[in-house]
Amino acid sequence: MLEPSTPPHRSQKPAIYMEKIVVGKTPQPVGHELVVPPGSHHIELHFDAIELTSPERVRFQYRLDDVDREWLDADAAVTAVYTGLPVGTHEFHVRACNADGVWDRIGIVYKITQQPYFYQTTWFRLSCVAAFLALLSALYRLRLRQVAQQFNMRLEERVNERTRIARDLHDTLLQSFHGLLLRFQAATNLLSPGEARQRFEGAIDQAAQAITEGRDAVQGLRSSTVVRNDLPQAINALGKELASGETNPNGAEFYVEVEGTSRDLRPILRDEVYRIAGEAVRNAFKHAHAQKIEVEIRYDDRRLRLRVRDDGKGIDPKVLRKDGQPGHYGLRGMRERAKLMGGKLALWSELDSGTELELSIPASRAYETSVRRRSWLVERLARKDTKAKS
Amino acid sequence: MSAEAGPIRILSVDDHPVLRHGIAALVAGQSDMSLVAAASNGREAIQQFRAHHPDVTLMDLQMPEMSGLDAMNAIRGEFPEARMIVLTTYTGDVQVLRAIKAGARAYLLKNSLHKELLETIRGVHAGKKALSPEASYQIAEHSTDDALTPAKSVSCVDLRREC
Repeated sequence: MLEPSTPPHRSQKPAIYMEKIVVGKTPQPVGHELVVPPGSHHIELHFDAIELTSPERVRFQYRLDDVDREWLDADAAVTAVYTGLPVGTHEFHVRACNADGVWDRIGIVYKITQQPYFYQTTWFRLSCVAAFLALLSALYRLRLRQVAQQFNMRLEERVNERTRIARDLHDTLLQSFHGLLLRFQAATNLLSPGEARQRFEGAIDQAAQAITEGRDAVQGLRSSTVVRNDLPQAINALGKELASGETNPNGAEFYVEVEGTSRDLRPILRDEVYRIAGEAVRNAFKHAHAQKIEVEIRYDDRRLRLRVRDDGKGIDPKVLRKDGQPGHYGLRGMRERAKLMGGKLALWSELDSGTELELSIPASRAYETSVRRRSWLVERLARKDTKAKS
Repeated sequence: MSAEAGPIRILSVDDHPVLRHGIAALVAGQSDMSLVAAASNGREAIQQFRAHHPDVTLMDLQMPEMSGLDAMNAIRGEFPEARMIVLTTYTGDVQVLRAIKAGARAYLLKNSLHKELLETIRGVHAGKKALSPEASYQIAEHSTDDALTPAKSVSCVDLRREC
Protein backbone atom coordinates (compact mmCIF):
# COMPACT_ATOMS: atom_id res chain seq x y z
CA MET A 1 0.00 0.00 0.00
CA LEU A 2 1.18 3.32 -0.85
CA GLU A 3 0.72 6.12 1.63
CA PRO A 4 0.60 9.44 -0.08
CA SER A 5 1.71 11.21 3.05
CA THR A 6 4.76 9.05 3.36
CA PRO A 7 7.66 10.50 1.45
CA PRO A 8 9.83 8.15 -0.50
CA HIS A 9 13.19 9.75 0.46
CA ARG A 10 13.10 10.72 4.05
CA SER A 11 16.69 11.58 4.48
CA GLN A 12 16.70 14.34 1.88
CA LYS A 13 18.18 17.63 2.95
CA PRO A 14 15.94 20.67 2.90
CA ALA A 15 17.28 23.24 0.44
CA ILE A 16 17.71 26.43 2.45
CA TYR A 17 17.79 29.85 0.79
CA MET A 18 17.77 33.48 1.77
CA GLU A 19 14.39 34.75 0.93
CA LYS A 20 14.34 38.43 1.71
CA ILE A 21 16.52 41.01 3.31
CA VAL A 22 15.40 44.28 4.80
CA VAL A 23 17.82 46.93 6.00
CA GLY A 24 15.94 49.53 7.99
CA LYS A 25 12.70 49.58 6.04
CA THR A 26 14.24 49.06 2.65
CA PRO A 27 14.23 45.60 1.11
CA GLN A 28 17.57 44.73 -0.39
CA PRO A 29 18.37 42.36 -3.22
CA VAL A 30 19.55 39.13 -1.70
CA GLY A 31 22.51 38.27 -3.94
CA HIS A 32 25.54 36.44 -2.55
CA GLU A 33 26.26 38.75 0.29
CA LEU A 34 25.00 41.83 2.05
CA VAL A 35 26.96 45.01 2.47
CA VAL A 36 25.55 47.37 5.10
CA PRO A 37 26.58 51.05 4.93
CA PRO A 38 28.19 52.73 7.98
CA GLY A 39 25.96 53.29 10.96
CA SER A 40 23.66 51.19 13.03
CA HIS A 41 20.76 49.62 11.16
CA HIS A 42 17.90 47.31 11.83
CA ILE A 43 18.48 44.26 9.68
CA GLU A 44 15.97 41.52 8.99
CA LEU A 45 17.11 38.32 7.35
CA HIS A 46 14.30 36.14 6.05
CA PHE A 47 15.16 32.65 5.03
CA ASP A 48 13.25 29.55 4.08
CA ALA A 49 13.72 26.04 2.76
CA ILE A 50 12.24 23.84 0.15
CA GLU A 51 11.06 20.64 1.66
CA LEU A 52 8.61 18.86 -0.53
CA THR A 53 7.56 16.05 1.70
CA SER A 54 6.46 17.73 4.86
CA PRO A 55 7.28 21.46 4.88
CA GLU A 56 5.33 21.96 8.07
CA ARG A 57 7.80 19.88 10.01
CA VAL A 58 10.87 21.72 8.92
CA ARG A 59 12.60 23.63 11.73
CA PHE A 60 15.38 26.17 11.41
CA GLN A 61 18.34 27.32 13.41
CA TYR A 62 20.59 30.28 12.65
CA ARG A 63 23.73 31.81 13.95
CA LEU A 64 25.68 34.96 13.09
CA ASP A 65 29.39 34.67 13.78
CA ASP A 66 30.82 37.24 16.18
CA VAL A 67 27.29 37.97 17.46
CA ASP A 68 25.56 34.73 18.45
CA ARG A 69 27.41 32.32 20.62
CA GLU A 70 25.23 29.36 19.74
CA TRP A 71 22.62 28.25 17.30
CA LEU A 72 19.29 29.98 17.80
CA ASP A 73 15.93 28.44 17.00
CA ALA A 74 14.03 30.38 14.39
CA ASP A 75 10.44 31.26 15.15
CA ALA A 76 7.51 30.75 12.84
CA ALA A 77 8.37 33.88 10.88
CA VAL A 78 11.77 32.32 9.95
CA THR A 79 13.45 35.65 10.36
CA ALA A 80 16.61 36.72 12.13
CA VAL A 81 16.72 40.31 13.32
CA TYR A 82 19.92 42.21 14.19
CA THR A 83 20.64 45.78 15.14
CA GLY A 84 24.05 47.30 15.55
CA LEU A 85 26.24 44.81 13.80
CA PRO A 86 29.92 44.94 14.68
CA VAL A 87 32.12 46.37 11.98
CA GLY A 88 33.58 43.79 9.61
CA THR A 89 32.51 40.77 7.63
CA HIS A 90 30.51 38.07 9.39
CA GLU A 91 29.12 34.76 8.30
CA PHE A 92 25.45 34.12 8.78
CA HIS A 93 24.69 30.40 9.09
CA VAL A 94 21.27 28.81 8.64
CA ARG A 95 20.58 25.16 9.05
CA ALA A 96 17.41 23.14 9.05
CA CYS A 97 16.18 19.72 10.06
CA ASN A 98 14.03 17.61 7.83
CA ALA A 99 10.88 15.81 8.62
CA ASP A 100 12.80 13.03 10.31
CA GLY A 101 14.35 15.53 12.69
CA VAL A 102 17.82 15.10 11.19
CA TRP A 103 19.82 18.34 11.36
CA ASP A 104 21.82 19.42 8.45
CA ARG A 105 25.21 20.02 9.99
CA ILE A 106 26.46 22.71 7.65
CA GLY A 107 23.49 24.53 6.26
CA ILE A 108 24.13 27.62 4.19
CA VAL A 109 26.50 30.52 4.73
CA TYR A 110 25.65 34.08 3.82
CA LYS A 111 28.14 36.89 4.19
CA ILE A 112 27.21 40.16 5.81
CA THR A 113 29.62 43.08 5.86
CA GLN A 114 29.05 46.05 8.12
CA GLN A 115 30.99 48.99 6.71
CA PRO A 116 32.70 51.22 9.31
CA TYR A 117 32.56 54.96 9.80
CA PHE A 118 35.99 56.49 9.23
CA TYR A 119 36.53 56.73 12.95
CA GLN A 120 35.92 53.06 13.34
CA THR A 121 38.73 52.09 11.01
CA THR A 122 42.02 50.67 12.26
CA TRP A 123 44.19 53.27 10.54
CA PHE A 124 42.20 56.01 12.13
CA ARG A 125 42.70 54.55 15.57
CA LEU A 126 46.38 54.04 14.93
CA SER A 127 46.78 57.60 13.80
CA CYS A 128 44.93 58.71 16.94
CA VAL A 129 47.46 56.84 19.02
CA ALA A 130 50.30 58.34 16.97
CA ALA A 131 48.89 61.83 17.37
CA PHE A 132 48.58 61.32 21.09
CA LEU A 133 52.15 60.16 21.35
CA ALA A 134 53.31 63.09 19.26
CA LEU A 135 51.41 65.43 21.58
CA LEU A 136 53.02 63.82 24.59
CA SER A 137 56.48 64.19 23.15
CA ALA A 138 55.77 67.80 22.19
CA LEU A 139 54.66 68.50 25.75
CA TYR A 140 57.75 66.80 27.04
CA ARG A 141 60.00 68.88 24.84
CA LEU A 142 58.17 72.04 25.79
CA ARG A 143 58.69 71.25 29.44
CA LEU A 144 62.32 70.47 28.79
CA ARG A 145 62.77 73.81 27.12
CA GLN A 146 61.03 75.55 29.99
CA VAL A 147 63.31 73.89 32.48
CA ALA A 148 66.35 74.80 30.39
CA GLN A 149 65.14 78.38 30.21
CA GLN A 150 64.64 78.55 33.94
CA PHE A 151 68.07 77.10 34.40
CA ASN A 152 69.59 79.70 32.11
CA MET A 153 67.73 82.47 33.84
CA ARG A 154 68.97 81.36 37.21
CA LEU A 155 72.51 81.11 35.95
CA GLU A 156 72.22 84.48 34.26
CA GLU A 157 70.96 86.00 37.48
CA ARG A 158 73.90 84.60 39.34
CA VAL A 159 76.34 85.87 36.75
CA ASN A 160 74.72 89.29 36.78
CA GLU A 161 74.78 89.49 40.53
CA ARG A 162 78.38 88.42 40.65
CA THR A 163 79.28 91.00 38.04
CA ARG A 164 77.49 93.66 40.01
CA ILE A 165 79.32 92.74 43.21
CA ALA A 166 82.61 92.73 41.35
CA ARG A 167 81.90 96.10 39.85
CA ASP A 168 80.94 97.56 43.20
CA LEU A 169 84.06 96.20 44.84
CA HIS A 170 86.24 97.45 42.05
CA ASP A 171 84.64 100.84 41.68
CA THR A 172 84.40 101.79 45.31
CA LEU A 173 86.35 99.72 47.77
CA LEU A 174 89.51 99.10 45.78
CA GLN A 175 89.74 102.64 44.50
CA SER A 176 89.29 104.01 47.97
CA PHE A 177 92.02 101.75 49.27
CA HIS A 178 94.35 102.99 46.56
CA GLY A 179 93.59 106.53 47.54
CA LEU A 180 94.11 105.85 51.24
CA LEU A 181 97.44 104.19 50.51
CA LEU A 182 98.55 107.33 48.74
CA ARG A 183 97.66 109.41 51.77
CA PHE A 184 99.56 107.08 54.04
CA GLN A 185 102.50 107.35 51.70
CA ALA A 186 102.23 111.13 51.71
CA ALA A 187 102.24 111.13 55.50
CA THR A 188 105.15 108.70 55.57
CA ASN A 189 107.12 110.96 53.25
CA LEU A 190 106.95 113.62 55.93
CA LEU A 191 108.85 111.40 58.34
CA SER A 192 112.58 111.72 58.48
CA PRO A 193 114.42 108.60 57.32
CA GLY A 194 114.59 106.11 60.15
CA GLU A 195 113.02 103.01 61.56
CA ALA A 196 109.52 104.48 61.83
CA ARG A 197 109.53 105.45 58.19
CA GLN A 198 110.82 102.05 57.13
CA ARG A 199 108.10 100.31 59.07
CA PHE A 200 105.43 102.49 57.56
CA GLU A 201 106.75 101.83 54.10
CA GLY A 202 106.78 98.10 54.75
CA ALA A 203 103.20 98.24 55.96
CA ILE A 204 102.13 100.24 52.92
CA ASP A 205 103.80 97.73 50.63
CA GLN A 206 101.94 94.92 52.31
CA ALA A 207 98.68 96.79 52.07
CA ALA A 208 99.31 97.35 48.36
CA GLN A 209 99.89 93.64 47.96
CA ALA A 210 96.64 92.87 49.76
CA ILE A 211 94.83 95.23 47.43
CA THR A 212 96.41 93.47 44.47
CA GLU A 213 95.12 90.16 45.74
CA GLY A 214 91.69 91.63 46.25
CA ARG A 215 91.81 93.10 42.79
CA ASP A 216 92.70 89.75 41.25
CA ALA A 217 89.86 88.07 43.11
CA VAL A 218 87.49 90.71 41.84
CA GLN A 219 88.81 90.30 38.34
CA GLY A 220 88.01 86.61 38.67
CA LEU A 221 84.44 87.53 39.49
CA ARG A 222 83.98 89.72 36.48
CA SER A 223 82.20 88.32 33.51
CA SER A 224 84.12 90.35 31.00
CA THR A 225 87.21 88.20 31.37
CA VAL A 226 86.48 86.10 28.36
CA VAL A 227 85.32 87.94 25.34
CA ARG A 228 83.50 86.42 22.46
CA ASN A 229 84.53 82.95 21.46
CA ASP A 230 88.18 83.07 22.38
CA LEU A 231 88.22 80.48 25.11
CA PRO A 232 91.38 78.83 23.78
CA GLN A 233 93.08 82.19 23.47
CA ALA A 234 92.02 83.26 26.93
CA ILE A 235 93.27 80.02 28.45
CA ASN A 236 96.45 80.29 26.46
CA ALA A 237 97.06 83.82 27.69
CA LEU A 238 96.46 82.77 31.27
CA GLY A 239 98.73 79.75 30.96
CA LYS A 240 101.50 81.75 29.31
CA GLU A 241 101.32 84.35 32.02
CA LEU A 242 101.47 81.71 34.72
CA ALA A 243 104.32 79.98 32.92
CA SER A 244 106.38 83.14 32.78
CA GLY A 245 105.84 84.18 36.37
CA GLU A 246 107.19 83.27 39.74
CA THR A 247 104.26 80.83 39.96
CA ASN A 248 106.23 78.51 37.74
CA PRO A 249 109.36 77.50 39.66
CA ASN A 250 109.74 74.24 37.72
CA GLY A 251 109.65 75.87 34.31
CA ALA A 252 106.74 73.74 33.21
CA GLU A 253 105.82 74.05 29.56
CA PHE A 254 102.30 74.99 28.67
CA TYR A 255 100.27 74.02 25.60
CA VAL A 256 96.74 74.54 24.42
CA GLU A 257 95.35 72.20 21.84
CA VAL A 258 92.06 72.71 20.02
CA GLU A 259 90.22 69.91 18.29
CA GLY A 260 87.26 70.39 16.02
CA THR A 261 86.01 73.68 14.67
CA SER A 262 85.80 76.34 17.31
CA ARG A 263 82.25 77.21 18.27
CA ASP A 264 80.63 80.11 20.06
CA LEU A 265 79.86 79.21 23.62
CA ARG A 266 76.84 80.53 25.42
CA PRO A 267 77.87 83.73 27.16
CA ILE A 268 76.75 82.56 30.57
CA LEU A 269 78.81 79.40 30.31
CA ARG A 270 81.87 80.98 28.78
CA ASP A 271 83.06 82.46 32.04
CA GLU A 272 82.32 79.36 34.03
CA VAL A 273 84.26 77.18 31.64
CA TYR A 274 87.11 79.64 31.63
CA ARG A 275 87.09 79.81 35.39
CA ILE A 276 87.19 76.04 35.83
CA ALA A 277 89.96 75.74 33.27
CA GLY A 278 91.82 78.60 34.91
CA GLU A 279 91.56 77.03 38.32
CA ALA A 280 92.76 73.69 37.02
CA VAL A 281 95.70 75.29 35.21
CA ARG A 282 96.57 77.35 38.26
CA ASN A 283 96.46 74.22 40.42
CA ALA A 284 98.73 72.44 37.99
CA PHE A 285 101.31 75.25 38.09
CA LYS A 286 101.04 75.64 41.83
CA HIS A 287 100.89 72.11 43.16
CA ALA A 288 101.79 69.59 40.50
CA HIS A 289 105.54 70.20 40.02
CA ALA A 290 104.94 69.26 36.41
CA GLN A 291 107.22 69.43 33.38
CA LYS A 292 104.34 69.77 30.99
CA ILE A 293 100.85 71.15 31.37
CA GLU A 294 98.40 70.65 28.57
CA VAL A 295 94.92 71.94 27.91
CA GLU A 296 92.86 70.22 25.28
CA ILE A 297 89.64 71.79 24.08
CA ARG A 298 87.44 69.69 21.91
CA TYR A 299 84.42 71.13 20.14
CA ASP A 300 82.38 68.02 19.57
CA ASP A 301 78.97 67.91 17.91
CA ARG A 302 77.59 66.31 21.02
CA ARG A 303 79.53 68.07 23.74
CA LEU A 304 82.21 70.50 24.62
CA ARG A 305 85.12 68.76 26.26
CA LEU A 306 87.95 70.40 28.08
CA ARG A 307 90.88 68.52 29.52
CA VAL A 308 93.68 69.81 31.66
CA ARG A 309 96.58 67.40 31.99
CA ASP A 310 99.90 67.51 33.73
CA ASP A 311 102.73 65.07 34.27
CA GLY A 312 103.36 66.17 37.82
CA LYS A 313 103.31 64.49 41.15
CA GLY A 314 99.59 63.82 41.19
CA ILE A 315 97.10 64.36 43.96
CA ASP A 316 97.09 62.28 47.10
CA PRO A 317 94.17 59.85 46.94
CA LYS A 318 93.14 60.94 50.44
CA VAL A 319 92.69 64.47 49.19
CA LEU A 320 90.75 63.24 46.21
CA ARG A 321 88.41 61.27 48.41
CA LYS A 322 87.80 64.25 50.61
CA ASP A 323 86.95 66.18 47.47
CA GLY A 324 89.59 68.77 48.00
CA GLN A 325 90.88 70.37 51.12
CA PRO A 326 89.20 73.62 51.90
CA GLY A 327 90.80 76.39 49.92
CA HIS A 328 93.28 74.00 48.43
CA TYR A 329 92.39 72.48 45.12
CA GLY A 330 88.94 73.98 44.91
CA LEU A 331 87.68 70.71 43.53
CA ARG A 332 84.34 70.96 45.18
CA GLY A 333 83.74 74.40 43.76
CA MET A 334 84.67 73.20 40.30
CA ARG A 335 82.34 70.23 40.60
CA GLU A 336 79.50 72.45 41.69
CA ARG A 337 80.09 74.83 38.83
CA ALA A 338 80.20 71.98 36.35
CA LYS A 339 76.99 70.55 37.73
CA LEU A 340 75.25 73.89 37.55
CA MET A 341 76.16 74.10 33.89
CA GLY A 342 74.65 70.68 33.29
CA GLY A 343 78.08 69.27 32.70
CA LYS A 344 80.31 66.74 34.31
CA LEU A 345 83.68 67.04 35.92
CA ALA A 346 85.96 64.07 36.23
CA LEU A 347 89.39 63.87 37.74
CA TRP A 348 92.00 61.18 37.47
CA SER A 349 95.14 61.28 39.43
CA GLU A 350 97.73 58.99 40.87
CA LEU A 351 100.76 59.84 42.90
CA ASP A 352 103.73 60.46 40.60
CA SER A 353 101.78 59.98 37.41
CA GLY A 354 100.10 63.29 36.92
CA THR A 355 96.59 64.58 37.03
CA GLU A 356 93.92 64.86 34.41
CA LEU A 357 90.76 66.84 34.79
CA GLU A 358 87.95 66.56 32.29
CA LEU A 359 84.99 68.87 31.97
CA SER A 360 82.29 67.92 29.53
CA ILE A 361 79.12 69.84 28.77
CA PRO A 362 76.40 68.62 26.42
CA ALA A 363 76.19 70.53 23.14
CA SER A 364 72.66 71.78 23.82
CA ARG A 365 73.90 73.55 26.92
CA ALA A 366 77.29 74.61 25.72
CA TYR A 367 76.93 76.11 22.28
CA GLU A 368 75.31 79.33 21.23
CA THR A 369 73.51 77.72 18.30
CA SER A 370 73.06 74.00 18.20
CA VAL A 371 74.34 72.24 15.11
CA ARG A 372 71.96 71.18 12.43
CA ARG A 373 71.18 67.73 13.61
CA ARG A 374 72.45 64.90 11.53
CA SER A 375 70.23 61.90 11.44
CA TRP A 376 71.06 58.99 13.61
CA LEU A 377 71.93 56.88 10.60
CA VAL A 378 74.25 59.42 9.02
CA GLU A 379 75.95 59.81 12.37
CA ARG A 380 76.51 56.10 12.72
CA LEU A 381 77.78 55.77 9.20
CA ALA A 382 80.16 58.65 9.74
CA ARG A 383 81.45 57.06 12.88
CA LYS A 384 81.93 53.72 11.22
CA ASP A 385 83.80 55.47 8.48
CA THR A 386 86.22 57.15 10.83
CA LYS A 387 86.69 53.92 12.73
CA ALA A 388 87.49 52.10 9.53
CA LYS A 389 90.03 54.73 8.61
CA SER A 390 91.81 54.74 11.93
CA MET B 1 104.83 125.51 28.19
CA SER B 2 108.13 126.26 29.77
CA ALA B 3 107.49 125.01 33.23
CA GLU B 4 111.08 124.14 34.04
CA ALA B 5 111.37 127.17 36.26
CA GLY B 6 108.45 126.62 38.63
CA PRO B 7 106.99 123.46 40.10
CA ILE B 8 105.48 120.78 37.89
CA ARG B 9 101.83 121.69 37.42
CA ILE B 10 99.59 118.65 37.62
CA LEU B 11 96.00 117.88 36.66
CA SER B 12 94.57 114.73 38.21
CA VAL B 13 91.56 113.04 36.61
CA ASP B 14 89.80 110.25 38.44
CA ASP B 15 86.18 109.61 39.30
CA HIS B 16 86.99 108.43 42.82
CA PRO B 17 87.32 111.28 45.29
CA VAL B 18 89.36 109.19 47.72
CA LEU B 19 91.93 108.46 45.05
CA ARG B 20 92.05 112.11 44.03
CA HIS B 21 92.59 113.12 47.63
CA GLY B 22 95.33 110.55 47.94
CA ILE B 23 97.12 111.90 44.90
CA ALA B 24 96.66 115.44 46.20
CA ALA B 25 98.15 114.47 49.56
CA LEU B 26 101.11 112.76 47.97
CA VAL B 27 101.82 115.65 45.60
CA ALA B 28 101.34 118.26 48.31
CA GLY B 29 104.38 116.93 50.15
CA GLN B 30 106.64 117.57 47.16
CA SER B 31 108.21 120.95 46.74
CA ASP B 32 108.76 120.56 43.01
CA MET B 33 105.13 119.78 42.21
CA SER B 34 101.76 121.38 42.59
CA LEU B 35 98.31 120.07 41.85
CA VAL B 36 96.59 122.78 39.88
CA ALA B 37 93.28 121.09 39.13
CA ALA B 38 91.28 117.91 39.46
CA ALA B 39 88.48 116.43 37.37
CA SER B 40 86.13 113.52 37.91
CA ASN B 41 85.38 112.64 34.30
CA GLY B 42 86.64 113.13 30.77
CA ARG B 43 84.55 116.14 30.00
CA GLU B 44 85.72 118.00 33.09
CA ALA B 45 89.27 116.97 32.28
CA ILE B 46 89.13 118.74 28.92
CA GLN B 47 87.75 121.92 30.52
CA GLN B 48 90.34 121.89 33.27
CA PHE B 49 93.13 121.31 30.79
CA ARG B 50 92.03 124.27 28.71
CA ALA B 51 91.82 126.42 31.83
CA HIS B 52 95.12 125.46 33.44
CA HIS B 53 97.43 124.02 30.78
CA PRO B 54 99.03 121.57 33.23
CA ASP B 55 102.47 120.16 32.59
CA VAL B 56 101.43 116.60 33.42
CA THR B 57 97.98 115.04 33.44
CA LEU B 58 97.19 111.92 35.46
CA MET B 59 94.35 110.18 33.67
CA ASP B 60 92.18 107.33 34.93
CA LEU B 61 90.84 105.29 32.06
CA GLN B 62 87.57 104.01 33.44
CA MET B 63 85.29 106.89 34.15
CA PRO B 64 81.61 107.62 33.70
CA GLU B 65 80.30 110.02 31.06
CA MET B 66 83.51 110.28 29.08
CA SER B 67 86.28 107.76 29.30
CA GLY B 68 89.90 108.68 29.89
CA LEU B 69 90.81 107.48 26.44
CA ASP B 70 88.31 109.77 24.74
CA ALA B 71 89.39 112.69 26.86
CA MET B 72 93.03 111.98 26.03
CA ASN B 73 92.34 111.95 22.34
CA ALA B 74 90.40 115.19 22.58
CA ILE B 75 93.07 116.95 24.63
CA ARG B 76 95.93 115.78 22.45
CA GLY B 77 93.98 116.84 19.40
CA GLU B 78 93.96 120.35 20.81
CA PHE B 79 97.29 120.29 22.62
CA PRO B 80 99.64 117.83 20.90
CA GLU B 81 102.33 118.51 23.49
CA ALA B 82 100.15 117.42 26.42
CA ARG B 83 101.93 114.93 28.64
CA MET B 84 99.73 112.24 30.06
CA ILE B 85 100.18 109.44 32.53
CA VAL B 86 97.52 106.77 32.39
CA LEU B 87 96.32 105.14 35.61
CA THR B 88 94.81 101.69 35.56
CA THR B 89 93.76 98.99 37.99
CA TYR B 90 94.52 95.91 35.96
CA THR B 91 97.58 94.55 34.31
CA GLY B 92 96.83 93.55 30.77
CA ASP B 93 94.18 96.20 30.38
CA VAL B 94 93.58 96.47 26.65
CA GLN B 95 92.76 100.11 27.06
CA VAL B 96 96.30 100.79 28.22
CA LEU B 97 97.66 99.74 24.85
CA ARG B 98 95.19 102.02 23.13
CA ALA B 99 96.16 104.82 25.49
CA ILE B 100 99.85 104.35 24.72
CA LYS B 101 99.04 104.36 21.04
CA ALA B 102 97.06 107.53 21.57
CA GLY B 103 100.15 109.20 22.99
CA ALA B 104 100.24 108.53 26.71
CA ARG B 105 103.79 109.01 27.99
CA ALA B 106 103.49 106.45 30.73
CA TYR B 107 101.10 104.25 32.50
CA LEU B 108 100.95 103.22 36.13
CA LEU B 109 99.14 100.52 38.01
CA LYS B 110 97.14 102.03 40.81
CA ASN B 111 98.60 99.67 43.37
CA SER B 112 102.11 100.94 42.63
CA LEU B 113 101.21 104.60 42.68
CA HIS B 114 102.53 105.14 46.18
CA LYS B 115 105.97 104.06 45.07
CA GLU B 116 106.17 105.18 41.49
CA LEU B 117 103.85 108.10 40.93
CA LEU B 118 106.22 110.90 41.93
CA GLU B 119 109.19 109.54 40.01
CA THR B 120 107.05 108.95 36.95
CA ILE B 121 105.70 112.48 37.07
CA ARG B 122 109.23 113.84 37.22
CA GLY B 123 110.37 111.55 34.44
CA VAL B 124 107.52 112.41 32.12
CA HIS B 125 107.93 116.10 32.85
CA ALA B 126 111.61 115.80 31.96
CA GLY B 127 110.53 114.49 28.59
CA LYS B 128 110.95 110.80 29.11
CA LYS B 129 108.57 108.34 27.70
CA ALA B 130 108.12 105.55 30.20
CA LEU B 131 105.75 102.91 31.27
CA SER B 132 107.11 102.87 34.76
CA PRO B 133 110.22 104.49 36.24
CA GLU B 134 112.64 101.63 35.64
CA ALA B 135 110.60 99.98 32.95
CA SER B 136 111.66 99.48 29.41
CA TYR B 137 111.11 102.30 27.01
CA GLN B 138 110.89 99.65 24.36
CA ILE B 139 107.18 99.18 24.52
CA ALA B 140 106.30 102.79 24.20
CA GLU B 141 108.54 102.99 21.15
CA HIS B 142 107.00 99.88 19.65
CA SER B 143 103.52 101.04 20.28
CA THR B 144 103.99 104.13 18.18
CA ASP B 145 105.59 102.18 15.32
CA ASP B 146 102.54 100.36 14.17
CA ALA B 147 99.39 98.76 15.34
CA LEU B 148 99.97 96.54 18.30
CA THR B 149 99.60 92.88 17.68
CA PRO B 150 98.47 90.46 20.36
CA ALA B 151 101.99 89.05 20.50
CA LYS B 152 103.35 92.41 21.54
CA SER B 153 100.66 92.84 24.11
CA VAL B 154 101.80 89.58 25.67
CA SER B 155 105.38 90.76 25.80
CA CYS B 156 104.07 93.91 27.39
CA VAL B 157 102.49 91.87 30.16
CA ASP B 158 105.75 90.04 30.70
CA LEU B 159 107.76 93.19 30.94
CA ARG B 160 105.38 94.65 33.40
CA ARG B 161 105.75 91.68 35.64
CA GLU B 162 109.42 92.36 35.92
CA CYS B 163 109.03 95.90 37.02
